[in-house]
Amino acid sequence: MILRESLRVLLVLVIMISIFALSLTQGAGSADATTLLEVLNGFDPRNTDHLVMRDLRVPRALAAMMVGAALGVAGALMQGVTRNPLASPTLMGLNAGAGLGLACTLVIAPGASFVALIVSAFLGAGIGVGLSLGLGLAAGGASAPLRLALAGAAVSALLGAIGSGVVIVGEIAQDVLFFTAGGVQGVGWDELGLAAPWIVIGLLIALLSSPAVSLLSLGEDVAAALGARVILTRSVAAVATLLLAGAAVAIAGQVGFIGLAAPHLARFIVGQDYRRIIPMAGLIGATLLVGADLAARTLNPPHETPVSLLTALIGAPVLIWIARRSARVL
Amino acid sequence: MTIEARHLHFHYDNETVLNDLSLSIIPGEITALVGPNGSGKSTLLKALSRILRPQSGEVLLEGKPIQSWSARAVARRLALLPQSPEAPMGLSVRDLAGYGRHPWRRAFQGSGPEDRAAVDRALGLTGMTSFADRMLGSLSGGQRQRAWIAMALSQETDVLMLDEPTSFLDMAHQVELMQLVERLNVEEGRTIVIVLHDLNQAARIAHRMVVLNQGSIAADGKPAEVMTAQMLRRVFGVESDLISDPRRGTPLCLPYAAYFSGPDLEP
Repeated sequence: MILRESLRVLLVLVIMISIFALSLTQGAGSADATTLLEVLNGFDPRNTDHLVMRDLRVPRALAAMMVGAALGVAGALMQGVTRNPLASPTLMGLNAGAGLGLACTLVIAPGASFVALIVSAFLGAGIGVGLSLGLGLAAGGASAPLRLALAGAAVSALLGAIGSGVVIVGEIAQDVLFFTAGGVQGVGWDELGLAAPWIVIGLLIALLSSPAVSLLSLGEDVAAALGARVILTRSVAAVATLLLAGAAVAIAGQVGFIGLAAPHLARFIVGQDYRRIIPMAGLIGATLLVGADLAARTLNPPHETPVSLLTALIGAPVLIWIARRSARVL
Repeated sequence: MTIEARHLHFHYDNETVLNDLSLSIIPGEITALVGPNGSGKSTLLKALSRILRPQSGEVLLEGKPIQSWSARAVARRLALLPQSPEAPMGLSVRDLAGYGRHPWRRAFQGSGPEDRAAVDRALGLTGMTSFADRMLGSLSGGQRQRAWIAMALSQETDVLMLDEPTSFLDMAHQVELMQLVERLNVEEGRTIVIVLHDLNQAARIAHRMVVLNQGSIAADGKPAEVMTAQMLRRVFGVESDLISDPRRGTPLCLPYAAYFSGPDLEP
């Protein structure tokens, strides 16, 4: 059993590395594996293929990897802390908040830079989460996870409606398309540099809090009786979720499904212990998004297929298969 | 291990749950907490185990305020199994029991030989050894409850607190669980505080019965002293006959009439 589990983990690693390598060497333009080796041996700034590799492919693949990992881990944290198998980052008003922040900035300052948009989306996500947490946890008590889910849904609907209003009134539907379609196209080193530190910090916090999240998945009274610090764990997990999903939605827009599917896939591979689910959900999330981004670029070149469409296309059948196979596990 | 509650007071919004309640648990005894619905039994158990902080009053563990102990230090001395706990259905019995070792090891430490021995012992005591690798979702209610008790036992604490462990179990499983509780007390010398709905079950196994009513102690003492027709009328709102258990001599109550609105409307 232990061997089989480590084999499965190894398999996921191999798949992820292969897809990452494919992602660097495939795509529009003539940059390929040879280019990658050349760039590693010595970068030539006059060679267009080298420039494509360094400034487009690598940051894009790295961004897909980080955003995917961030979404997977954020989803795992939320499912563990709320004990709700349907929890995902979209649930806490994050995406709606980010969309609203983005729309407001686009209306107020139409020429705003991509960096400014990232910052405003992140701030919007923070407001969304803050509102959900504030409303959901204000009273405290045993039903906190349920109330949090309801508050998150309400805040999402409210901010989403306001955001749509701003988009219609401000006539910026075309400008926010990149956000609603989701994806890491156009992410260069600057944008990556802005989001990556938050994601790395978020991933570290998530890993460190994973033993406590594991206890919380047994229910808050049991966790407390076993010596867990329930409120602290919940707050830390909320901060990590905000950092991860906030940074992800800020640079990649609304990438659906990974936050929901990656934790379930991880559970299928490593079992019920969040000390293993959390890192595995990150690995799977990264693999899913790098794969989806690769498909987005290569399915119909030179056009980009929306990534959120592809994540659902890849993730949904897998999730349904798992649900059917082990209805009792979910 | 001494546990003492002093003048506990707890209320939600405007509903008082514990009202100036003082109680000291006698080490080595089985103490049964009984009382009508909403009388504060579960809340008292949570306050005694540091899960819930009373608005005033304090609980002393070994003479020191329990809030001054860390949650982990408390969890090494005292195990609490809340009412109808729920775990992921995909968790195996052994993994669930293994969670009981949490207070004894560092966050990222794997389970050592001591942990495995404690888990094996807990599985043995609860008769769950042959189910160790089964998932919780594939077990019956009684087996699942025993798996939870195995988790609390693997904590290896002097004190074990159980909140209505027999609810939802069929008769055989209830009797079996009561036998287990007695064994843990007699053979292992564990102090047990147990919330029970069934007064006859409580009277049969407890050294001491504490009757709660509206957040205060209405009666406290040996089952034979506590189980009186007058107490049953006053606290539970039932008229009952009392007979002696032919096997143990403990009191058995046979209620035959109830006042739906409580003893205030006594005819």
